[in-house]
Amino acid sequence: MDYPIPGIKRAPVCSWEVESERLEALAGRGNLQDTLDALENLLGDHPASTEAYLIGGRILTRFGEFRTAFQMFAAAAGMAACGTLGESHPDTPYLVTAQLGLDEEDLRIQPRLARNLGANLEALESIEPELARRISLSQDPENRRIIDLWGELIVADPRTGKFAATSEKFTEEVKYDVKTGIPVAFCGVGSCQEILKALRLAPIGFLGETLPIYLFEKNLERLKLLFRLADLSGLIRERRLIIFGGPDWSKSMQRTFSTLRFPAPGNYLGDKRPYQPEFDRIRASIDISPGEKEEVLRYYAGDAFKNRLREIAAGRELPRVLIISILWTTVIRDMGARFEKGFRELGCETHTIIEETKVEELSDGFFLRSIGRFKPDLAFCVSYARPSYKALPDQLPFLCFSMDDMGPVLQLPRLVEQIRPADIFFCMGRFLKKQFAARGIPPFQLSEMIPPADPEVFHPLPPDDPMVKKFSADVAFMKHNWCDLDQNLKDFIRWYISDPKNPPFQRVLQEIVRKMHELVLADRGRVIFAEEFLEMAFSMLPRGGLPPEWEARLRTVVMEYMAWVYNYSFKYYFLEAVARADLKLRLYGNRWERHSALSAFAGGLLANGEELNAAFNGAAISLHIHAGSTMHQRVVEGAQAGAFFLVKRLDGEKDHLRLTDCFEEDREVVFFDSAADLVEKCRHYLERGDERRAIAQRMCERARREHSVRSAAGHMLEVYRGHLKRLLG
Amino acid sequence: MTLTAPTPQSSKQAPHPSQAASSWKEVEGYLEALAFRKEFLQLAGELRDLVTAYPSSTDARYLAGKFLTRAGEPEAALIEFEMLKDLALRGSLSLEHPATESYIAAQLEVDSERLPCRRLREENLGANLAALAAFEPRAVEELKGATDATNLRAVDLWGELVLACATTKRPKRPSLSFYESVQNLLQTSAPVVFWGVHTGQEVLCFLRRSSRAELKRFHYLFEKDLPTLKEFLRLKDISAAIEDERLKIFGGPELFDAFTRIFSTGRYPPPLVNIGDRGDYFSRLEGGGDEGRRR
Repeated sequence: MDYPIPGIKRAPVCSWEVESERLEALAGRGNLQDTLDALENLLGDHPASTEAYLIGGRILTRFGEFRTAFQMFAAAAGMAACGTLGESHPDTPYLVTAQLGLDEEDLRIQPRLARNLGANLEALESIEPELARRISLSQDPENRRIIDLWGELIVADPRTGKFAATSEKFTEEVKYDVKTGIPVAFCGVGSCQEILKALRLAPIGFLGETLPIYLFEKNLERLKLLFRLADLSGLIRERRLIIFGGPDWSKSMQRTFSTLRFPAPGNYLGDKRPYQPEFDRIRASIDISPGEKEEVLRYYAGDAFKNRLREIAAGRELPRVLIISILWTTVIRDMGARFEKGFRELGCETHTIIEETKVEELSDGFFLRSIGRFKPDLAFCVSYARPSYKALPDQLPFLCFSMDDMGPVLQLPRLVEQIRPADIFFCMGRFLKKQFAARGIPPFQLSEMIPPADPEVFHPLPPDDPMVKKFSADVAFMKHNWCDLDQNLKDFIRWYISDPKNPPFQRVLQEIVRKMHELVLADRGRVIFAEEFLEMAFSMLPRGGLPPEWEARLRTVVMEYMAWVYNYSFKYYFLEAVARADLKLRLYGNRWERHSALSAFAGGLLANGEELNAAFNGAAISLHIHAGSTMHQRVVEGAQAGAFFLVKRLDGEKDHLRLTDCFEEDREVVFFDSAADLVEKCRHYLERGDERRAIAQRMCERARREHSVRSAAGHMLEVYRGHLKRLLG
Repeated sequence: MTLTAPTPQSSKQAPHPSQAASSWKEVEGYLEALAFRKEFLQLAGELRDLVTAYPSSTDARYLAGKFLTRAGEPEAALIEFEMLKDLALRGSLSLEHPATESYIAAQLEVDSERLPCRRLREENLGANLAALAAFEPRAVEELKGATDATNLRAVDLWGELVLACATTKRPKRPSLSFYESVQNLLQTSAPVVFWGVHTGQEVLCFLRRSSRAELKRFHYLFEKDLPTLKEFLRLKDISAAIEDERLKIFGGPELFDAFTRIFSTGRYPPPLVNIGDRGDYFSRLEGGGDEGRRR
């Protein structure tokens, strides 16, 4: 890169330290007018330099010209690059002095403070209306002023001129807690900065899961100060900040924890003595009483429940179905809701357990209480099974629809000891079924299932529907993206093979990844299954192999390489070919705009429902490109919407979930073999609209008939009944 | 890209006439977009225009340094960071400054001969080796011949040399608990042994607090890895501490022999305070120490 900076490389036009000393000397002589003149000249000469304003602010503060000084500092803060001015900047004390020398109204932050307070009170009102009312009526605290510290509001003490700064030690402690998943409780608002920092640090997981931060504060004035300082309304509504405040703080605490939805605090910061006796009751209040627990377990161990199962097995009763869902995993939440609808349509009574906010951690007591009240005859969950829900009664059958080859139950080396005879695993494909069998699950507890779709959500739309026009495209592909091949590889390396604690192992991993990547780049359109990558990786291990924990790590690295690099590379290869063919391509899902070559085709994220259905309707051709299986949930959804599918063909034996088991090739769905074949078939079917529509219609009819949520729930019920009959004799 | 500064009422001259951006934050956003799209040629052009139009602006220099590092031009970035150092107000550049990350990264990416702080690095090393040569001439020869460390480098952190890690691209710093735990020890003359250079700051922290005449404390530094030791000796001129034997250095493959030789004189007190993990050294040293004490 050419980067000449002629004439200015080593000759600064002015050194701000020298300018500062010159003006300080002038100010030191006490002549305000001369100093102001010099300052004006400096600002005139360097209108875009932050330092000129900082020097101005500092010198005017010395002269007691607080109003103009503050304007200077505000100008500096407004123009400076992000993060360059902060607590530790040498001019910070002058900025604080200038503001404390002014009335609050002069700081021009009153509207912001009022806005914050209003938004926070409104959010709190929906959760704790009495506390919100009390805070709004409380006084402002004495000896505390809110000032603007380089654009950020903080609390200062006008008597001492000190402002609230957070210590590095505190930050480290909070960072450790929140990053290791320990919910933190603040005993008192403190300087307000601590809690604001903790809220900023609280990580949001890959799927949006996070931790609550609890605040105990009896003093309403201090809560009001915090509420004026920052807009926390979103955090209050999402329950990421849970406040137990005012005189009724203890009742509010009991009310919150007795829902059994929130985790107990793991660390208390600040002075906990005023709240101490009540803290000891939190642990007890997040569980149900032994009596209540015993009653639930007694019901499931008793004859009444056995008789109910007999009635269900005989088909004289429909089961009550408990759907266990998860808020932050979209696929589990949506699929759970589909099955719930399917069971309901069959006449079953259903109840869903799901988090209401992303900070919740439903306790074992919560599950038992829900079961005790609903008395389900089976529990159902997508991709999770009994080992994740240890509180469930042993006799309650657990039906798992396993959709994911990385699901938690597949990471346990043995599973059979952790499930019960009445449990059944419905596996999406032979590959998953094989994996469960390898973990000791007997064949009669295993079944296969295709992911269903809801015909009320996915259905053909008339061609003149405005939504169809909006999503009109020749070729469409609906899956999320990460970035592009180079960046995906870099991110994968950063996340999975940076292990500074273990340099020799890191080198081995790097070499393995390099070889795997060479293999992928040699033919990006080639289907490579996990077995091939694993075999290559293990053959490259040094003599003597690896300790068991490293072997597990290597296995994870290989699987993650496939997920983050290879699978994307495979898709990119075919999509790039379509892009080059000058067809109107649309890529829907997250982050396609980050792809260096395909960003122009990014169509954005679609809402799962109306938009996704419209996108399938708007595209003449929908693609399914997956290196593991030809069948996928999106294919069923698209088929019900009336989409015409071109699907990348895989070796039938290794195809984890065969589309041809459900749909007939060329009659209902069309396969392609290579990038050239894909482009040719795209052109062929775009030219022959009638042929394309006829194939799509046949696929649509079959999908709506055989793969609706109702038929899937019906199949599940049939298998469940048969299994109960076998168990109960 | 041009910038319009805010105009305080007292300013008699109108700022730059263009209205393209009203703050360096906006300029930064624009440059960030170019860097994200990997449009590095245009980025370099914009940066060149910026520093030409605003040669005295620390924000312009900081942004130029940061984005040139991102664009894979560490040498050009270092020119800008040096300008930033010359320009900036005293105390305004620190570890917390957002420029620090890019500044360290740029210094780790250029050849050590191209570092702006190369002279200071070599002067420190020269002075320290000259002082050490009076006691350990063989170790000094080995240090002179040692290669540079691959994962570690003494780099400038706004006027002070620190060790930076090539993997994390961050300056190495002792944990907060280190300073807390040694607070009381620093007031005493208890001899200290350092098992490894670690961040380099541990040794320097103790040496800083032992130069007073009434507090002569012995420090023993063990470091098996010669390139690491060599980089440590580039950090600061500690030749005075080596000369008056407040600091004894045991380095490289000969360190066990040197240890035995020195402690066998009986002139040096055994260490009472351990800093670092002694596991790598201790088993072999136990024999040497005993021998020294027996004599």
